[in-house]
Amino acid sequence: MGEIFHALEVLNRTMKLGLRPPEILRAEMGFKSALARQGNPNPMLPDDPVALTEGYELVAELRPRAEPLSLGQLSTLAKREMTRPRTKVDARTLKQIDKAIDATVPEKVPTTAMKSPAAGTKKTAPAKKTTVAKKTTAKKTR
Amino acid sequence: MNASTLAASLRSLETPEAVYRERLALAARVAGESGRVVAALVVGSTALRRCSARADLDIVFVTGAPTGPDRFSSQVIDGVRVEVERLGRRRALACTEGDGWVWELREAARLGCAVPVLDPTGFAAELAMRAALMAPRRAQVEATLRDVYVALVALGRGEGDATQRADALRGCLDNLALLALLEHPRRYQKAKWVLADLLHAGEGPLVDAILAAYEIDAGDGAAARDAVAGAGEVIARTYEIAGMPAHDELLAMGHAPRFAQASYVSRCLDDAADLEASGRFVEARYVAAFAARLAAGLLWGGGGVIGTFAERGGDELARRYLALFDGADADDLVVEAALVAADARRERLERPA
Repeated sequence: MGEIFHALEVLNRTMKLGLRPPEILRAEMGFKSALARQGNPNPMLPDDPVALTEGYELVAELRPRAEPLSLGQLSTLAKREMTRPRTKVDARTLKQIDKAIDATVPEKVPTTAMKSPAAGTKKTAPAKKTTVAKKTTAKKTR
Repeated sequence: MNASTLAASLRSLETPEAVYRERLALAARVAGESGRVVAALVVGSTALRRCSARADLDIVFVTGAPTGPDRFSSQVIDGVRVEVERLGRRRALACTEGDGWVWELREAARLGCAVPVLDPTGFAAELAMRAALMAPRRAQVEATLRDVYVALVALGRGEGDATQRADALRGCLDNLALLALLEHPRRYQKAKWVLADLLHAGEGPLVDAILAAYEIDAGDGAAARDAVAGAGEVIARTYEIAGMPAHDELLAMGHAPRFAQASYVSRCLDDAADLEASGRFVEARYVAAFAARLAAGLLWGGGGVIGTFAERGGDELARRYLALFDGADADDLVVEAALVAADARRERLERPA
């Protein structure tokens, strides 16, 4: 699943955002896609967000914090940030992502139980089943 | 409005030569009648050529012996209030030694930028040289500059919404103005004189950036009056929330150590009104908005000026503050200008002594 998804899950829980797994998946795919276009040195990265999600994952590691940047390094960083294209996901990519989620969500949903802020119960039904049910309802009402 | 237009308009507001000479002559006369002093220095608005003919005339007498409780005296001569401060020689030397931050450097600059009207031993010239050699405290410069760079990185990344970015840029430029002025002989006097002193120090591009970030595009009276009134409302509401006395009460208190920060904000707002009344509309707008920004510090919020006003005073207070500006996003060119100004401070800091 990759660390982005886990980070988003933690964010969802700690900030009580009430995001559903497909929404987290959407954010994860958008982030990967933006990251890939933002100057990732690997030239083999695919453009397609689905291919990126399926074939690549972002691996994070905890390591001792680096020394604080010097003023000169901060200046260089500021300069670089001013000229670098900003992390964004264009509408076309989001469309592709939504399409892919629509088609693949039941298989991609993690087994981690998600708790919505409104839910008072300690445990919810398995996420996979819930999502499928919600998705079906959503499609019906469209 | 830009720095060169402002510089031209400020030149026309300088104390006329005849008035300036007259006031120095009056100071020399007072010094001559005062008994033995090491040196007599004209300080304040007269020395910096920004006084009116009726403004107070501030003089420092440097004395050979330490001074007592009667250090300050005041009298009206030929319709001018003459304020005299007596300062012992050793104390004057101590004031102009080592490094310092805003307060110490301002005190030293008062003596360093003075105009001597009596200086038989060259002591005033020595004080001027010592004051010019003082440097802003390195660790504090570095910490301030670090904050500026971190904010510039965030601005470069496009973090926050448009109003927050614009306000963060104003914060950066306030800090850069402070650092730039601390490097120059006049140092940081007060917000009232920031734009004039930056121009005097040759920091025109920084003034341009400040004017752009504060969205001051014209020097018209109506805009200046609106800015002073708008800032007054923000400050009045802030005082209410913070449980501070009202603006007029604070001014009436004079030196008010119990309410030092609020008192500074009020004096700043009062300066904005004074600038507006003297036709210095561009500076009035800047100082009014700056006073409103300073007031946020009284509320101890955790999210910048806008966030603090919103958190402690609700949307209404944040809206009142934002009404002081047009609401434009931080201009990329101004962000770049701020980076150039920050780099100039950094290069100076890193230059071998």
